[in-house]
Amino acid sequence: MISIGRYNFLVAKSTGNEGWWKYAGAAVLGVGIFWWAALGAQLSVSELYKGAPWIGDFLSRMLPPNWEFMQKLVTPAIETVQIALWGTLLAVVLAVPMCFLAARNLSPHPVVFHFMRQVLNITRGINEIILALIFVAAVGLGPFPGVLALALHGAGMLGKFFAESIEEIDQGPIEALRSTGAGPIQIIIFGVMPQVVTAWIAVVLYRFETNLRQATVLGMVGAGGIGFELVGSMKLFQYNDTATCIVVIVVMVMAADFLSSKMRAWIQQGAR
Amino acid sequence: MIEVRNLTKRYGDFEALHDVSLTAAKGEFLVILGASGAGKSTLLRCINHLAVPTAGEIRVDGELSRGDRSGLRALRRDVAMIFQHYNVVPRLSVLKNVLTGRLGSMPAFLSWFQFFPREDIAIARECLRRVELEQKADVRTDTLSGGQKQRVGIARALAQQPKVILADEPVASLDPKTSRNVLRYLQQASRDSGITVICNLHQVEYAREFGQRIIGVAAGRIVFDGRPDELTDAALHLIYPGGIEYAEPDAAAEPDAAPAVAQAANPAGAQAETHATHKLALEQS
Repeated sequence: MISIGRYNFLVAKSTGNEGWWKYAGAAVLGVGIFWWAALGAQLSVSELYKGAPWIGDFLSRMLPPNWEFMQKLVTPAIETVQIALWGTLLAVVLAVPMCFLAARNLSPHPVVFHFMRQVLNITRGINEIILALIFVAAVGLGPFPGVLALALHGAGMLGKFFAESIEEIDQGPIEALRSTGAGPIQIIIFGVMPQVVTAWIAVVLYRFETNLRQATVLGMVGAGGIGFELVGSMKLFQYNDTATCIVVIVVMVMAADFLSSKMRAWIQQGAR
Repeated sequence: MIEVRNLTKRYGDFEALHDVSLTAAKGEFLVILGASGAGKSTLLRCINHLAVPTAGEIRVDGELSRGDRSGLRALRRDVAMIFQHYNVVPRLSVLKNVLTGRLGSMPAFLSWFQFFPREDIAIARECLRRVELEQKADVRTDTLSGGQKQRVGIARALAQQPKVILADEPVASLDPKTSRNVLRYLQQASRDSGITVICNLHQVEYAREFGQRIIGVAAGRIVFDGRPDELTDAALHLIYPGGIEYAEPDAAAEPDAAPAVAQAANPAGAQAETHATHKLALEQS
């Protein structure tokens, strides 16, 4: 045992024939992978060092934020919230019919189940910004393509969450309702919904929070909201305005986080 | 009322029911007695088409039960079910849980929006009164005790106004006092409305107490069919070939738990003998 002063080195001796060698091998492999990745990502301490004054310069141009600019941000900030609200609502509307088909225990057929899961995977797999680029090309600049992007991506996310919460419910009441001769939609309304509704509300609130965060950057690709002002101010080298945008975004996201976590706690407590 | 002919049910290679035939008359309280895994539940679930029979046919009130959509709906309106774990919907009110028993015979579209015909609400309230829970109608069901939840389950079954009630181990999760109470409500319902009850039980004493007729099931076959007074030790030996498990001894039998344990562990041959010992011990205590 190794002792240093009043301290003992308390690690059990490795068992098995390989002893410590397997850990040594794993460590070498891990270091190798990250070395390889660092080369690809062109990590460079010297570049960072050389760039440091420029970062300082940039920050000093941002400070102090231009508080005058704040009044021009009110409308875009509200628009961002509006985008997030409708993106969330449309996502729910799209996700609800899909989730029943994508839940293993309710889906009418395994083929339908797998197909729906793939549909959800694809919509969820494409990032909101990429979707927004596509919708901007399709319906033009403005907040509406942003709403569509959030709705589609959110539908994939919510649909998967909804389906998984349906798979976790107690099957007993479902079987009981089936045995009373209730139809499939009656079974969903009287057996499934009461069991999942609080979990769903919590997820939807969380989704709104995420959508608001995403809506602040959607403007960068021309899909409305405060991100549009952010990119615009940078293009005009008005870095003090940029700083104001960032402050507003941070405050909005923090407020949404706080409110949605409070509401989720309140709902879960009420549901017991 | 119920006629089961040559019913066989296989799960893969495992044969849960082998060539089972039985009949039950209108208003009869029939107890199906057997150890866990004997096939009691499968039998009930086949009657209700919650499990699809591999072979054989089932007639309810002369109608051949069919697995297609309209056949299922017709069958399930006439056949209500009560479950071991109550299977009530926890977050719905007691009244709404009972109303779900009426879902099969009301306009589906309006029920989606929580509109229920006044007659159906009246039926549900009447059924709640019959299990003496009318004062709990507006309470959320997850606040009730186990026995009360099972009474909601009974009320839901009654609300279906069925010809047959299938009860799958309705008291297996309840204490002895509550169990008798619940079984009494079920018995009362069967007497009052002439509903045929087929009730799965594993406790011999409840079977004797409540069954008008007892059917013993072991390893997927019917091994006994007779009145409670015909249920002899020899018959019990057929139903429980591995030895009787007295799941719930009477309060009086509690002090001599040791012989009961011995019985459960005993090989089949010695079983009748220890049963006698058990009785003797009972008399002494």
